[in-house]
Amino acid sequence: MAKPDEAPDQLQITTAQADLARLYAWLDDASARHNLPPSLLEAMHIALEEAVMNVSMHAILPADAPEILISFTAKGDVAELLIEDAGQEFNSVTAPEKPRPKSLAEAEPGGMGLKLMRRYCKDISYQRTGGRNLLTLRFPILCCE
Amino acid sequence: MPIVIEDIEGGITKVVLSGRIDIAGAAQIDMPMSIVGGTKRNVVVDLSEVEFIASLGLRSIVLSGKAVLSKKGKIVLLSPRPAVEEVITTSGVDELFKIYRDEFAAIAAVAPDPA
Repeated sequence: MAKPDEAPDQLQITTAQADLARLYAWLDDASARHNLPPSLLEAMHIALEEAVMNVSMHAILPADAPEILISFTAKGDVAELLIEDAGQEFNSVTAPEKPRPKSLAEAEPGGMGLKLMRRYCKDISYQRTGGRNLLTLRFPILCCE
Repeated sequence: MPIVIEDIEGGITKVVLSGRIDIAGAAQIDMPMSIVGGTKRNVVVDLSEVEFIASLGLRSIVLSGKAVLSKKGKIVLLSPRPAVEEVITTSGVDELFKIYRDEFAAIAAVAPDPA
């Protein structure tokens, strides 16, 4: 039987902007229940925004499954976010980062988010299962005090 | 509204961003930043009151900056807080914009060239 601190908090949203904007308050509430430090919450906000916006902007969700499901779990010294969607396959773990532009003139607006997601997580893993993308972001709890 | 645009003396525009530039905040600044990019040539973006920014907010700043630059204009960033500066550095945006701590220095950096 799962311990109380292992029960996932879940949020299901569509890619409508008002829905997407709910993720921060949801994460604030979930992490408050687990007494997570503010510095960790900041990192989780940054990484989760990128993960969810990747789905919203690139995944092309099917009409019969237009939702993104986000689950939060805190186990020991690791907080975990699982982002699930039924869109096109996209592996954030192996996707190449764009080279850093040398100037503003060369810069493209996309491509910054993967760097941020990888920097602000302890670990990222990806699975494609049953036609769904399962992206797991892990954050160390103790090191961010 | 997390954006205030001021035309200050010397033909310089100061854009003051504030609060959380998250998904909702980025949606609020996108259009004003696009207008700044399309119409202004000497721009200081004051980040001192920004509490949070991630890829969407940075995207808006980069797009605006590219538009300013395409008109041979100048744009710099001013006084991001440490957490915001870490996001700027991690994303590589610090290589695209000069970052100033002093407002007078930032204004001087974008001042129009003498005729």
